[in-house]
Amino acid sequence: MVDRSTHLWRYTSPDLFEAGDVAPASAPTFHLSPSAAARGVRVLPLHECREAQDVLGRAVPAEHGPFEARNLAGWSRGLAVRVPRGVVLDEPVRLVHPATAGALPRTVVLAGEGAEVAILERHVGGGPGVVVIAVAELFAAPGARITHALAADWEPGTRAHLTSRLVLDRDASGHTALVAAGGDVVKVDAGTVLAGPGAHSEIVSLVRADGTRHVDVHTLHEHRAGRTRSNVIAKAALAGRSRSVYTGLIRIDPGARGAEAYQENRNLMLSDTARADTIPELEILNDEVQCTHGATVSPVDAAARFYLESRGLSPRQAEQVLVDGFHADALEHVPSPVRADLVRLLAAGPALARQEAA
Amino acid sequence: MALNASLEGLNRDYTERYGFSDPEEYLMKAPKGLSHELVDVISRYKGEPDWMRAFRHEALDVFLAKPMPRWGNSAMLDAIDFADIHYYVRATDGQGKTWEEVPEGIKNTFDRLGVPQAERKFLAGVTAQYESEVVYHSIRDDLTKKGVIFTDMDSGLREHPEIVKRFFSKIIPARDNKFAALNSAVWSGGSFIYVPPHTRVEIPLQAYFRINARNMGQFERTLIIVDEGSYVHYIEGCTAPTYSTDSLHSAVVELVALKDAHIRYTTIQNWSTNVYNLVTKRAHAHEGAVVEWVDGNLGSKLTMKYPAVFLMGARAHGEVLSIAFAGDGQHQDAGAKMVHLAQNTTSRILSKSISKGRGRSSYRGLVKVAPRATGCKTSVECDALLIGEEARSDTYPTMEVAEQDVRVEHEARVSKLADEQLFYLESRGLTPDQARLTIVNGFIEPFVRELPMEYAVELNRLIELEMEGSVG
Repeated sequence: MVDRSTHLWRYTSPDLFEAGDVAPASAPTFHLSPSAAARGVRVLPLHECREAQDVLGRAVPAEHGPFEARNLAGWSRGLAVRVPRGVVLDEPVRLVHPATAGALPRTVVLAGEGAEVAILERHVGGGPGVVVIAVAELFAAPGARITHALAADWEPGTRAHLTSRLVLDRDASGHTALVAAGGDVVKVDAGTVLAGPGAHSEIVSLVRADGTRHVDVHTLHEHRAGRTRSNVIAKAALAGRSRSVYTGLIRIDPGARGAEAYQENRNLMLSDTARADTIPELEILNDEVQCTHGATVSPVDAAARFYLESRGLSPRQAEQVLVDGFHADALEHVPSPVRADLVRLLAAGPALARQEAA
Repeated sequence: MALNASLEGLNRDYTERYGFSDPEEYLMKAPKGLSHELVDVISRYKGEPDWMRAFRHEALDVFLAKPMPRWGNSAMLDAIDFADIHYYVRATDGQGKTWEEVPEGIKNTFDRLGVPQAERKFLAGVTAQYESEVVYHSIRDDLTKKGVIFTDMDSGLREHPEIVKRFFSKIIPARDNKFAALNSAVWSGGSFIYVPPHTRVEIPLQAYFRINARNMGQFERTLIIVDEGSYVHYIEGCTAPTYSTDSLHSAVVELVALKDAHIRYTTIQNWSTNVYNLVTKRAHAHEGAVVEWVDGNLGSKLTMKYPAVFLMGARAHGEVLSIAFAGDGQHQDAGAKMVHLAQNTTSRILSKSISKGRGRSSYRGLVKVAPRATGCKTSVECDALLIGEEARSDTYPTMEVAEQDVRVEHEARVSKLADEQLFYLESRGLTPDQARLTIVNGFIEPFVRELPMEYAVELNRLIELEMEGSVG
């Protein structure tokens, strides 16, 4: 079992995600362009996709942790995305998981050799007392490119635990973009395994929190093969009494010679009652590597704020401009098919989901 | 090379220089194992006041109740057999005030380690601890006249109970962690220093710790209080024979820097590679005070040590400058903690580590900014150098910030010896060994230049020994 003495649970109690009420799960929805469908791309209920069933639990097994085990045992409304080899999509595949109490959504993505796909996976709905345990597993065959945009847009009151693992085969490339703008307590464990030589991964994590929101993000880059490259940019802008936890691990196995890994964590403090805890970690098990990381916690630039206000912006507008600027350079690392969506989600959070639903 | 020239003729390896052992002839050697009876024996033997005996018993209960840490190198930690350790060993009757008074065998040991020469050359006071007790102690008369107290911890408790009772275990309570509890239960020896207000102790005070017996546990306890506006530099060194069975060294070091005081604490840890070195070190820096830990870890099997500064008063400054060298079979799990509890406090951590062969070094640190500690600045820089395909380096820095108006920065780099640098040096006529040594010396230079000259030479020599035959 895990408790507060378990490394990744130091700042977020696992009790918060203990099962409470269970309501009937609502069906996830998706949008796939007709041209993509015509080229053999499929989005299916997970229980109907044999290929996805075959790899279920391979990237996020039950041993991963108690919540991952619960999802593996009990998921009901999952989605599988299958992209045949060589198919390159320009339009993102959009998935929406609406949360109900006790929901255990699961997503599996399979990209064939040389395929290119962007997935926008949004988690919406929920509310006071609702606990969601979500898992995503993504597999990129040799040379494939997967962009996985993961948006936590739950309603206020929702407590959610979200685990994703992207496994990259030889020369495959992965982009994970996490936007956590909704939910009360959100814990994310987003990792990429660079399993094949020449694989490349980028993870961008953008947190914007106010009120009493608590967002705990763990990122993992596990270099298992040689000549693999990875980069992490994790940014949190924190207002009110909100709290951000960031734990980022770069692990380079003995056999991963010639690996390069970078990690950057920046925290912008917008109030004197916000709190940022950050642990950027490195575990390097061979000497043929290039590896650096950096982390900072700092207040809003007072001169910049003064300048904006002197040009007629309200304090709130000025802060908005500064926070947008703070996140902007990280968004440059997000591939274009999903970038515009993430910018909107980051600004609006759950409000946007409601507006779109209406 | 100038460095090599200056080092020529020095002993070539640890076994020869530090790894020798004396016959084990002791006045008192407690049987192996840990119990309340043993605590009574130690306390009675030392003739301690009741409050200290009660403190020891309570600490033992804490030790027994606390589980082993579940972080760090659990495989190594779990291999410690607490029942197979001698917790108290006394080699001499009384303490030498002059070198001649120290029993012949022990004197030879410290002679071989070069302690008396060091004292003559550049120290204002020396304490030498052999097993559980301090066997030699001296301090310059002018310092005594100024009111500077430098003695062993047992004498400190006897002669200055009012100061000891006020600060002892107040910085590191017994229940702080399992090994602090163990030390609190069976502590013996260590240094006690008090520097009165507005007094600069210009020349360093030194302690030298030596474990000789097999399966020995050394649990010294050091308390340094530097009063308003005063300064002291304390240096400690440690070695042990290379036995095939493991020994345990678990010290507790408490520092108090009162208003505007300045403490520098330098450690060159060079235990043999069969010693577990599990140490708790913490300082309180009051208003305007400065505390610097200069921490070199070369020896031991497993070191877990994270010198801490609690910045208690406004404008206090904390600094940790450390290097770790991990060779085959060694794990240096070292780091630093800076806890900002007051406004406008500043801190800086510079950690350098070298992992060679199958060695592992980990930086583990904490920077914490408490609510209302506005205007704080802190920077952490970790540099790791890997030599060999199987070397391992970890970085585990924790930053907890609960305040807006602060600047917290952390940076880490991990790299191997650069081929182009080696190529350049070799093309200038250096052998591969010399080229590697030159790069390593450059890497640790920011640390070495903070040491007194004699220590810097010694450290360079140790690094040279560790680097020998690293090509291939």
